[in-house]
Amino acid sequence: MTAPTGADRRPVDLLARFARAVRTAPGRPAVRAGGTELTFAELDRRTAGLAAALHAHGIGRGDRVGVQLPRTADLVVALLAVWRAGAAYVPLDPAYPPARLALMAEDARIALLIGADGAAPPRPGVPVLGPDAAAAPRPAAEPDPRDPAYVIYTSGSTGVPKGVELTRGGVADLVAGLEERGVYRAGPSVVGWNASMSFDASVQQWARVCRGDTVVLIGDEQRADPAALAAVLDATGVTDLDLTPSHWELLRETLTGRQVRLFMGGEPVPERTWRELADGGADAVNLYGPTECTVDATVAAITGPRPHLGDPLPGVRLRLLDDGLRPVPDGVTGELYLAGPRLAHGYLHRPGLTAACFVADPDGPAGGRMYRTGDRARRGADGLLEFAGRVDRQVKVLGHRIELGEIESVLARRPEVTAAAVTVREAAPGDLRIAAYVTGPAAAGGPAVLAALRAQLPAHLVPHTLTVLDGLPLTPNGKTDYAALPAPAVAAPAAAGSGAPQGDALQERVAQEWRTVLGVASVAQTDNFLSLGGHSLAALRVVHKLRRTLDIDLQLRHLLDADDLAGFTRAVRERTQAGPVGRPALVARDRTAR
Amino acid sequence: MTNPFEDENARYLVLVNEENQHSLWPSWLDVPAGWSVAHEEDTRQGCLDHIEENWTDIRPASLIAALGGR
Repeated sequence: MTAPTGADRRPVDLLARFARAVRTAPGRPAVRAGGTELTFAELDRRTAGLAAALHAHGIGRGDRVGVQLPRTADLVVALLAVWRAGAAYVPLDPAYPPARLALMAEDARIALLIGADGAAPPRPGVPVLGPDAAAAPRPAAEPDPRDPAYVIYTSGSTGVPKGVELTRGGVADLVAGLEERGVYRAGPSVVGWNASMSFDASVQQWARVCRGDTVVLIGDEQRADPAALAAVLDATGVTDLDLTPSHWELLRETLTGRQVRLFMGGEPVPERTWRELADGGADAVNLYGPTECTVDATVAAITGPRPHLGDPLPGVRLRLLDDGLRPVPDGVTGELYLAGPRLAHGYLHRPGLTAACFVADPDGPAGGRMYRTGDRARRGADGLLEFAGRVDRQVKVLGHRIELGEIESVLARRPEVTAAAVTVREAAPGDLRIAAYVTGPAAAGGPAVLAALRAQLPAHLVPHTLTVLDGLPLTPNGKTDYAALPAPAVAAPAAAGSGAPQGDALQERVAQEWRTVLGVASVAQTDNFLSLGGHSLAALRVVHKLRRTLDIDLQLRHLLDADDLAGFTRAVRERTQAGPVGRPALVARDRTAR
Repeated sequence: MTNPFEDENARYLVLVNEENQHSLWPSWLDVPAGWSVAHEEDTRQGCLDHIEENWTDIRPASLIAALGGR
């Protein structure tokens, strides 16, 4: 399609493009997930039926619908049907703690939930529809480009996640911009959908079905298991795959040499990864952008010697400003501000925060707004735009955007905790861990506090270590001195004295994997994997290695659900006794954002 | 570098545009075209309080009207 450029760009709404894709190739696969395949004609029929069922429940433009489904073809049906009904979707990941889901559903005031059979709505009283619900189709309301399309919750520094409301026009503009820049190829592609729907990167993938691409769901059991992922890529002919630089570390051997375009995003690409991709001739792009600007704001081909952000996508105006909102000269670091039709409406029910982050634009159309990203950047001597850190305490861990203040707030609400400080530490190059510190009695670092963190926060926000200090280090003006926090306590105190390896070869084999992956000299039978600093990718490495070398049907939950090394070893032993089971699915939940 | 919107000790205005979108604004900078002052110079918190009280739906006013208040 020919897209207008400059100020006159008016990208075609994605539902109109979907209708065109259905007419053009009704028999082409639209969605593939596990053994399920939906053609464009089938996806059209199912989404029309579900949209009509939503209408029958009074859902229409301006409403928000929660979608709480696992990663199956039904998920694409549900998301697209919400748009067909004129409404916006709110992703509710079934793996999140119920308390978190309830908070999001209530904050978004969802009017209905699309959930699996028997799902209890996270907001009391709202009706629940299954993804198979259908009614007689009716003509859809004419959408306005400013109609809300989805609400994505991101970590909030004051302790409560904030919902960013994005628009239909913004998504259409994103897709058109990526096409104009050649990031999406002209012809139909086969897109691996890797990111969790909780992260806006997912929009950049699943919504491509509207331009006629085939969307292949990368399941939880595949995205973190290199062999399983390779099998999916081979079976489906995926041409485009998104991933974080952290995820690349796990998938390097699987992806090297494949004819797959890699969409890297979610966190800065480290220089060594950049060079590895560039030198290896990979077809890879680096995408940068905050959720508040509809997924991606800039793109760079990963070539040349060092990482950079590239150029703004069509439709995005990018400025580097100083503290007087004046453009900074080349070579000087400024804050990145973004403007254009892709900006979110703002933060749901947070007018003060919205007005402080989406601010009057002194250099755009009259009455226009710009979003201050909190990201610092500079133009190098060669003209390349380089990321230069944050102005605040937001961090990226495994592609997840994390406000450390949110974790501190949850800790500070515990009665055992007097004061809390949370920071990130690099355990190994590129391996960031969330380290929490508390003051108070010994119980401040105890199981009740850990349990509270796990009950209220999604897994990617749960600290890897929790250390009790006598007092937090302070700067001369009395603020927490984060740089002066000590190295985290690695082993749980209870483990002391029980660390002598004992027993049989299997027990030692499992302990050896922990030591290798966690990089610690010794582990005790009473040690908890997460408390030792293990994160999801580390857990996957352990499980994957044991599965391969022992040829057993071991799954990630066996490690994550185990209280300690002894418990995990028991699970491994049980699987050993169950015998080999071919190549079973690894039911893993990779916490990588995309 | 202090972000000009994050200085607790500075003075601010509240601006509003035709869509009733509100913006915190540093009082020492010129008001951009298309925006007018909805709340005169005040502390940062005073401005945020004004916004919380007076801007109850963050969507553009014309969209709210088109949606019939949904």
